[in-house]
Amino acid sequence: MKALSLLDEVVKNLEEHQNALRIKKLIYAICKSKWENDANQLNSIKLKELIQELQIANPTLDYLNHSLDKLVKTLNKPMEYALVADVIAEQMTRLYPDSQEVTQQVVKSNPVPQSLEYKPNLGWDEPLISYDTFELRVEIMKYTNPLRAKILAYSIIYHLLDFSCQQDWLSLKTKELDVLLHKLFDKCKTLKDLEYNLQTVAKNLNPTDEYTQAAGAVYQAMKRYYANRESNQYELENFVMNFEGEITGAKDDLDDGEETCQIRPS
Amino acid sequence: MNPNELLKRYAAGETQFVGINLRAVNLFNADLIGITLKGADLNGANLIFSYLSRADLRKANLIRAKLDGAILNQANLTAANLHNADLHGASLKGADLRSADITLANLLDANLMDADLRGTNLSGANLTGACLRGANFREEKRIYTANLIGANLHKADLRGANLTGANLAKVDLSGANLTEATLREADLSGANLAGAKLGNSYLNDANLSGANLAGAYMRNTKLERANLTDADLTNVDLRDSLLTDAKMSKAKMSRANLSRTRLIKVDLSRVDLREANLSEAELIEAYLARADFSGANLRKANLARAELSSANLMGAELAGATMPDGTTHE
Repeated sequence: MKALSLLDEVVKNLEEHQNALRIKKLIYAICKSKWENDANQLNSIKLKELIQELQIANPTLDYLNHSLDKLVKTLNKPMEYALVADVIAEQMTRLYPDSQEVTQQVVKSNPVPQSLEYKPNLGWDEPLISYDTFELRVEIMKYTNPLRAKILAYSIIYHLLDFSCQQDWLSLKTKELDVLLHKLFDKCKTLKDLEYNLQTVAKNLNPTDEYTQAAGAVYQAMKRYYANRESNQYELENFVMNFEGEITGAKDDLDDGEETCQIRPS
Repeated sequence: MNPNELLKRYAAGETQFVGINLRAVNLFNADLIGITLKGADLNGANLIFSYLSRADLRKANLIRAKLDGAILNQANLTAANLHNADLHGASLKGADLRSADITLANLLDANLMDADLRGTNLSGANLTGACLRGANFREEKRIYTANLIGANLHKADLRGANLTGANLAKVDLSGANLTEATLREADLSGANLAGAKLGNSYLNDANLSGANLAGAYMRNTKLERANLTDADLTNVDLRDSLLTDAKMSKAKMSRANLSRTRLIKVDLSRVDLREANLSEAELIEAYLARADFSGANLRKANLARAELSSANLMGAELAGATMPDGTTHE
């Protein structure tokens, strides 16, 4: 399968990179919410699995860049690790369907769920995702038309859906409500952003009253997760602050002195 | 009948349109709540965003009908033909779909909560992201289970669903929510359950041979006598689960979490358990011929009377474990 070989290629490129160890450390830190200097521990986990985990925890490229940026800023070698982060981001770009859409303009005639390219959602241990995707979907479906909810999210994330455009319809069919909601969380950093975007888009879709109703339902369903989201990000910051105490003391020949890495509050 | 005439008569209070011909008509966004279209021919009709709540669509021909975003809550669709219909994002909450033909239909992100699906044929249907909570798939006594052969249930929400004895062989259930679902005696051989949520589910006597369960969340599941031969259980979380008498020969279980799992009398021959966590697991009388435990954590595990003589224990942690002869490992 194309997606698999692409993933293998990314893994290979990162494994063969001169900074392979630092790359793995950075990815490991994001995935496991813990800094690891112990080479044995790092070697015990396959890079491929970490990359899959990284992609699940960061459903968009923006999200990934944000996670990398945030972590790098807390390390005591931010310059070196910023370069490492760039290498990761550059390779990971290829694994995000959106970036491929831009470069290849592929329009699938047969709506195959694109998220099959991801390793399936693991749900219970994603460090940055602070809501249950199933519960959110149920809350929305209980109170509004699922398709209108999708159209609203699509219109906020991409562009106002054009009903007369066959391509827009086909494109909508390749997107899962789940994935669209995730992108919506990502796009709307605060509850105010969400409210503003939903209202604006609903006003521009016809019939407005139907979309205003759907917007209200989406807003109400997503509202409570904003608080969770903020507290989870706080936890991530906390782990970075605390990892000093977890250092195993194992020496790292390549990254001499890194085990003394100090964390500055960002 | 043309659509304008139908809408006019409906607006005037008429609701009975039994057996009428509405083939390929355009009823986009039409409000037809409670209408009777029993046996009507709606083949290829455009019913996108239509309101058909509580409509009587028994035995209606809805082959290739466009029902994207249609509201069909509590509609009666028994024995309707929805072959190849598009129900993308449609709402079918509490709809009666008994014995309906839904083969190859697109139900992406559809709401099927509390729908009656007994005896439906869903083979080849796309149910990706569909919500099926409270949906009824089978009658307890009669063999009247929905046919899901070849269906796509990726990320479908089947929380609490009763799928006892269902044929789900080779079905894509990756990332699906099967929390608290009943899958007793279900045929899940070769099914894709990677990353699925199966916590507190009932899988006793289920056939999971060759299934892909990599990364699945299976905490506190019942898997007694289940067949997991050749299954991929890499990275699975099976803590506190019950697997007594299960067949797990040749299963791939590296890095799986089996802490406190009960594996009494389980056939674990040739199993790959590298770096798995088996702390406090009960492996009494388990058959472990040529099982690979390298780097595994077996702290305080109970291996009493287990057949361990040809297992690979290189690098395994056995502190506090009860060994086959009853002694405790230092």
